[in-house]
Amino acid sequence: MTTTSSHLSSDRVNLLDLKEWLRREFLSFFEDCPGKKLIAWDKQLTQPLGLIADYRVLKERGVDKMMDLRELRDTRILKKKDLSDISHIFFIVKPKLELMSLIAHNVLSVEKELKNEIKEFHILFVPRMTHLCEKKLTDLGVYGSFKKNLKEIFLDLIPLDNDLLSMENPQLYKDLFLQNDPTYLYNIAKSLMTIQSLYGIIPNIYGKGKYSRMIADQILRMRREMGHNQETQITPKIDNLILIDRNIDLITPMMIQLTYEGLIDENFGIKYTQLEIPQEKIKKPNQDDKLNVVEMKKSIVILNSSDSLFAEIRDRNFNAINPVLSRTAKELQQTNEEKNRLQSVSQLRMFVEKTLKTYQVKKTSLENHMTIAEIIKELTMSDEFFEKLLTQNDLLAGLGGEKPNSYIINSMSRGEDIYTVMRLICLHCAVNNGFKTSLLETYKREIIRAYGIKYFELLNNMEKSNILHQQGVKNFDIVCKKMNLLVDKVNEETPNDISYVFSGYAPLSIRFCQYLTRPNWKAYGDLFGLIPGEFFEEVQYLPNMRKRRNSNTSLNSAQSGQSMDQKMTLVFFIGGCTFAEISALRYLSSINDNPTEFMIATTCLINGKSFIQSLKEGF
Amino acid sequence: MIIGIGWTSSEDLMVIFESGEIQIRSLYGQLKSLFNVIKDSRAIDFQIFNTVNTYTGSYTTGCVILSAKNKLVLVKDVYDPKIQQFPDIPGSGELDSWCIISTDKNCTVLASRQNDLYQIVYGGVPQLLRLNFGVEYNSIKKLCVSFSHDLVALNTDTGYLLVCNNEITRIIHKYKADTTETALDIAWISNKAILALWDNLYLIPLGSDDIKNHFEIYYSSPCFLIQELDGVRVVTSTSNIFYQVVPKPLRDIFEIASIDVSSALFEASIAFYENKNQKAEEYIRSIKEKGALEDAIANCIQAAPHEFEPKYQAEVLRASLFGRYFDDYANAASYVKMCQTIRVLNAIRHPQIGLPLTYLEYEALSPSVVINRLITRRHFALAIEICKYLNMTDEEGIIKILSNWALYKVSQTDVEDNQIAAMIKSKLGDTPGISYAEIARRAISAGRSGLAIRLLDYEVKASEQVPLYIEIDMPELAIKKAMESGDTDLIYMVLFWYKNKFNNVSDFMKDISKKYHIAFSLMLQYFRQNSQDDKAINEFNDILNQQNLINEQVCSIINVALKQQTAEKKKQMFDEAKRLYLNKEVFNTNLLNDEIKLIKTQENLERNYGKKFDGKSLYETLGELIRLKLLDEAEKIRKEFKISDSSESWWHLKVKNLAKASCWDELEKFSKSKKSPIGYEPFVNYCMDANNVQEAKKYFPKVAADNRFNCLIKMKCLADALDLAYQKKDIQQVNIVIGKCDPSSQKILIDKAKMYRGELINK
Repeated sequence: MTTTSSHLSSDRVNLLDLKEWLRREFLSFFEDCPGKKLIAWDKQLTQPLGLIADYRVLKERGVDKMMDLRELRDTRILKKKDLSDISHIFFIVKPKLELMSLIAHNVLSVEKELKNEIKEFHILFVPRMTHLCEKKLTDLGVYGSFKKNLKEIFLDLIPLDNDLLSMENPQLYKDLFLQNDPTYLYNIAKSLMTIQSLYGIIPNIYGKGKYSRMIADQILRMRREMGHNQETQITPKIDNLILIDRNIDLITPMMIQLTYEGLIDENFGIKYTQLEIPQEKIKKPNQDDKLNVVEMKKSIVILNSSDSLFAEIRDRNFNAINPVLSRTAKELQQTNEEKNRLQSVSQLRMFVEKTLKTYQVKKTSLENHMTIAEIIKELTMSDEFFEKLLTQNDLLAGLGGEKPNSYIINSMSRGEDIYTVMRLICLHCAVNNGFKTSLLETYKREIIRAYGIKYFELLNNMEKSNILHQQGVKNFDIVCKKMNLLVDKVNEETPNDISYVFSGYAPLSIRFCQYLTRPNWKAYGDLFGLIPGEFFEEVQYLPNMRKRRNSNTSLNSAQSGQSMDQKMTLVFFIGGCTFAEISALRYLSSINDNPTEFMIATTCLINGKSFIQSLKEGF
Repeated sequence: MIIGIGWTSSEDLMVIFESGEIQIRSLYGQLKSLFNVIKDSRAIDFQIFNTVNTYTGSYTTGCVILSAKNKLVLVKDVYDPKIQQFPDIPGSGELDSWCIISTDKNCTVLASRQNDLYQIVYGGVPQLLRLNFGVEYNSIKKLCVSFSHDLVALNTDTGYLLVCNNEITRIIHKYKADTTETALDIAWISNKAILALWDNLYLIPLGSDDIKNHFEIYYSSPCFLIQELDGVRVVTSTSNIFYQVVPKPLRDIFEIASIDVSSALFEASIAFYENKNQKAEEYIRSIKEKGALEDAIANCIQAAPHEFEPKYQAEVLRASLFGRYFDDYANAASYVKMCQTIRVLNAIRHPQIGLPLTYLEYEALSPSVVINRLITRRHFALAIEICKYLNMTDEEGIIKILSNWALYKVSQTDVEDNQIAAMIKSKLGDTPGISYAEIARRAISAGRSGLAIRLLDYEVKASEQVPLYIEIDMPELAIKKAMESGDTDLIYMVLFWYKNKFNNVSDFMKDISKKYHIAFSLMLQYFRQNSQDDKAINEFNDILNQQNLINEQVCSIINVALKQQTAEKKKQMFDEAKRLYLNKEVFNTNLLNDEIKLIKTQENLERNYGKKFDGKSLYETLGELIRLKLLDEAEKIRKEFKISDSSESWWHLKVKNLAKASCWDELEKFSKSKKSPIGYEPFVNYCMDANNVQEAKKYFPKVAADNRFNCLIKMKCLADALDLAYQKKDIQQVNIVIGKCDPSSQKILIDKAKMYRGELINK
């Protein structure tokens, strides 16, 4: 669990402020209660809360024991022996009804066993308490046991890096896009209000898609409800907010990401910036090559910008990370040689104090990334990977047509991983603007025949949430051409276009952001209409004093040439975004004459597999 | 029976009944709250007292009730009544007199019975006080505490009036009256003097050695003494006169033979403005010589608000202004501020308003409390003017006043709903911080739901609106507003309330599915997440069925079916699922039919070959059969499921699994059965998956030219691959060959490849 927060700080919009705010909120619950405490967690919350405050900090505030609430059932229910010296019992949970029953069982058991001792019970709801949970607690007869100790902490959008926020909620896409459950829209709007309270009102809101529209409406409404006397007095630090429904671009998530971080996620999955590499994947060190003396001490690696090497290679195309790795290796070697040349004791001490620590950190980092890169390299060198890319590119180029793609059909009969197959089908569908009924049915039948009826529901859900759909107006080729999505000459080493992230395909979602943040974006208005989902813009009123220097309300003000400094744009993906998309936005931020820098917020970090998987039942 | 009345610090009337009941009523007599302090006795006496909070300066009103059983009951704050018992008074028999000394630290009762004086601290042990007063007496007939609770006056049956500190450890003053009667009333003027009422009113200044020193004031009784912060108000049936110690700034100016510089300044201004003589200059010079002009000005400013007559206020202020003409460093701030204060004081002292506060009282209360008092008296217009005049914040001022005004309007039952709503809206508008819901709530409690609906419409906060709509039973509005807010928690709250209006869940769902799309989705989510046991699942399925959400219902049944142990049960459930489609969804129905057929087939296979096929997909089953060399069975099933024998799937299945099971003869036979729809590259690949180069090579000649290079690579025939690549002049392929070579053992090949590459590049 990380204790440092250096990766969050930044000059412009410092997400450390958000973390600090969340941390203060969270810790105050414990600081207000004297005595020893026991925490029973909803396991799903340990990681997000761990990013806010680690165990050491909790311990300093009297937290003596931590348990997994979901395990406190049946015979393992809280007993007397768990509670010696404990005066407060905290349940930290998401507002889920089944957890209320678990809590109730434990409370009743404790109360029965310890009649004379006074224990205080608390529930901390993340992100909010609901009437349903209160009702359930009342029905279960334990509402009174909590007195006034039902509290909430609005921890939803978690800062993962200095330009990245995520709700890390894989369930959201299913609940929102499939089941139409608007709960999350409210929560997203609330977290944007939190962002605004810390970083100022965002003057311009743009969006694409119906849920984006609803969120924008919510924000405007919440601001109205708040009344301007309670509003933040902070000068806006973020100029634009772009809300994007995942459904406006279902091509990008289906594509295999070719950036370093993207490939790591594709192959291992990154959760809360943590990468867990299965031990068996780690190869035995190769003694021959000195640079390859790789030994991973642990299989969990933290992936964020505090690791300077990772920060440099994460957004690169995988084919272009080698030069950086070998340069770093050389640098380290130099440092090492320097050390050998040192003669006096004082020189040595200087070296130990100044260089050695960073040297060690860098060395560990290099070792880690070389190991990871090697594993990934092996996977990307395989014929299957190559064939997948080939098929993907064929489909993208519109060669899929109205027939079932033979690679897809063959993969199914060969029993390839179902999600690889599904991704390609979805890509085919998206590029084709939908399937004719017969083609859709062929694919569906083949999937059931190859993988079984248990995928019936997943297919049904994919159709219902419009990932698979009947053919509509065929216009992808026009979009593709006009938005320059397929780029022939890609420079993977020193990119000159966002298409480097997929070695030739520019993600539609990011192209949209790129064009939208151009001074003359209105010229693209018609083009935006070709992409599914309603496009809108809203201007939020700002009292004069709070206007940002040089920021004359909207994007096109830069046209007048008054403003030389880059604006700040927050892009919020509703339904998830991929690491490749993040890399593409970072690439845009890094270009000097780009009109804006970007920050990214998302409901979840996804890749094609995890995205489709999230639609499964019981996920 | 009422035994007494009194006021609280927020100007509510307290009425104390013999039964022990205490009622708090508004200035207009409306009952605000009531509580009872005595259970099995009756109240015979009471004391109301204010405790000042040393930090905030605010006052809390409490009271102590003496019961017939000689018990003292304490209520420290009548707005948050907690009943506390004092320790028992020692001895028995009626008390002669008692009083309360209350600070924010503790609360003490002083009680006298004949010779004895007791100090009873709340939560402590009662003490009998033994102080020798040095006077003869048999009993103390009256006890009176000063406003600040520092000093106590004791009146003995022998006509003495003794002043002690509040601990009764020190005698501060002795006074001997001409009569031995008990004083009818005693009150403190600050801590400086006592007003006592016998046959006449006697003013007894403290600090004189003469124990008979007093001033007699003639009064026609009856009269009442009311002790205030800096004086005593004497109320008779015809008059209301305030006695106070003349404040020091005024004394400095007006005392006879005063030598204070402010007195000189005042004289100077009188000389200049009224007498128009040169003495003014002399006075000013004398002040300036002392270097005390600023002090003089400041004192005049300080003195002005203590005057009650505007005429004198103006004279004193004029003096300070006059002084400023001679002061090079004059700062107007304190002058301006005082003028504002005086204007406010004069405004509230106006007989029509009737708040005759002294300056000290005004300062002690703070403008905010004064606004509260004006609100209580419904002087809304003046209150608003004062707020604006004093630049008070919205929370302290405008919002509070407007809200209270609206609350008052709501209770005016003689005015029509529409009219009131319009009036309130026009006055309050969109002033931030105004809670229309709060006003609506008052309307509801006044039984005016029509008005409440109108008012709620102006409320911007859905979370405030919705509970009130529920309270007045307006489901449509409640649901509509909740949905507009997007706050699902709020929507759920309304929906669960609304649900109770229906006899059963399905009627309820039917109702909302028609009217409220989002609400309907939410309820479905709720049932979905709560269908954990079979009963709940069935209920949920019923709802899905009624709502024509057949696909989801089918999915739900399939999920249950997949968990079943027996094939029989599975078939049964798939059949049930299928029948839900009523032959409408042909494609899905066929899928389910196929599944049932597959289960039957698998049952047969299991019976015939003793192998488990349970849970396998169609292709997995076929693959397994091929691997088991049960090709006839596989063929039979292929036909049964109408898989074409020239389909790519079938060929892949067959080739892959034949190779996997090393059925090389069968594979060869199959390759010759007809032209392969998948080409021959897969033959090579699958053979190589089984590491059989020999077999792979058999099919290589048939591989299409384009795929040959890949096949050679796969077969690890790198030299051939290199030749092919060279032949096709494909540098990329040459590179691939180099990449595949082992640098240590295949050096020759690498060199050759590099040579070819060089050649190709040069061309």
